[in-house]
Amino acid sequence: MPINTEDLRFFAEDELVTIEPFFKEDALRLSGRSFGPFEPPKKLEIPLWAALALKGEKQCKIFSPECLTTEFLENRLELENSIDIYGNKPLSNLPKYFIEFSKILLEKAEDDIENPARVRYLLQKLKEVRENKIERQLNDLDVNGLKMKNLTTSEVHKIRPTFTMSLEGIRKLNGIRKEAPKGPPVRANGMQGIEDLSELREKDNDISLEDYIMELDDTIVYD
Amino acid sequence: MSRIFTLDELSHAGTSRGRVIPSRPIREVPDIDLDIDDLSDSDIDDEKKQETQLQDGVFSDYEILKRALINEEFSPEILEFQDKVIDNLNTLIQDQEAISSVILLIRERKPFGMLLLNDIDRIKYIMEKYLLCRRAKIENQALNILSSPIYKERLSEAELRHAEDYKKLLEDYLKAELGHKLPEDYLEDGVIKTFEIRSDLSKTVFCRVIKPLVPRDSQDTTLKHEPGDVIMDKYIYMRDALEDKSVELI
Repeated sequence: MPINTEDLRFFAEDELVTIEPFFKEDALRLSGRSFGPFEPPKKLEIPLWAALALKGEKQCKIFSPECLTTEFLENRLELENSIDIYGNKPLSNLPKYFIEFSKILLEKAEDDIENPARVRYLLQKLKEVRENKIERQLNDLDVNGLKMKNLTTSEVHKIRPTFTMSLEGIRKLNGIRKEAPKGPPVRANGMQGIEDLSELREKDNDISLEDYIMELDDTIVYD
Repeated sequence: MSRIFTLDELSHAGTSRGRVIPSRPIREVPDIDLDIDDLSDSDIDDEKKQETQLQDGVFSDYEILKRALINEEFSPEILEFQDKVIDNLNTLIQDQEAISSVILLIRERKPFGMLLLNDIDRIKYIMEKYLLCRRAKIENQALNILSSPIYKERLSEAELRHAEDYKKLLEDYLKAELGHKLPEDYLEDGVIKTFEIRSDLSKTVFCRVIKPLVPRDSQDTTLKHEPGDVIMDKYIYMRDALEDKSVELI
């Protein structure tokens, strides 16, 4: 079972958030790590999943994380549109699981987020701007691969099929891969046959430019 | 007769009572309403003792296994088995279970017991997903793994047994299906080998730079990939950096 968007949400739930507990308790160990002591009104950081569980029991209040404030998002949106010294528009720096983290909080703890409607709007804008910039990177793809700064894990997950297929296609078209064998090789025992499946794969992968572009058109889907 | 091993057998300590197909953990907390006076002081003392017994060294094991799982998922070849991490997490689960069973008996502390149970489920989920991922890879590349001493060393003992059993099953199946149609030596040498799937080391992967890294083919050593950079390239070019923990697959 490959890693999917549900797994990314699972990983994002391990990110820390600040809470104010409504109860008194000693430190608690989760995944071998110590959290607490819980002493209201003292704030402390705990994993998001634990904060949501305690919130469900009405045992804490979650504080809006800095990355979900309108100031932070407006600042990031501004940075997305700024031009660096090389004349490029680089992606701004966001937490690794920013997209999943923000989605979970807006779904399950909207009442703890300040100005959630505005936050949603800014998140959508930020997402669109970044997606456009990332899609444009496809033009810069060459046989040497690609290097990008500040991609979130979710963005990598989204572009993976298209970018991987494009890169492998470019490499094939540039003759980077070894030419496929022109028939079954002769084995040591004199019998004809295919030595291993990788040779078969190489042969199957020999596609024409037209076929490749048609295949690519069918594959690129941005939701 | 060969048999397929369960996930528990693939891990060292084998304490994970895992589902075969992991699903996201959802824990229903048992409704236990006992009076707090039912608990003796010695129970509470034991609980405190157990809490302090959890070593700080265990702290990062969950994170290490999460990272190992992601690397394993995206790497085309089998990676080193995280035996120590799995053992430590099994111990941690046992400890957490002991603590939570005591905490759940105290009405006021029930939310904490619930958190501990959720925590156990989350650790188990990652462990199961990691073991399943490796098992799928081992079965897919069994012949290739068993023919390479380097890959064989990367397996746990149970995984190695599983790979050998799986290879035997595959061979028996092929002999039964094709044995009467082909000459014996051809079957031994050729057809079975045709089913050998090798790791596609030229597979394109994404990785995030952890430590500054000199780009491949670069003559200028001052030019480096910086931590946080995302690189997309063939796995074979990233292999050394991955072993060196300079990059992580994403």
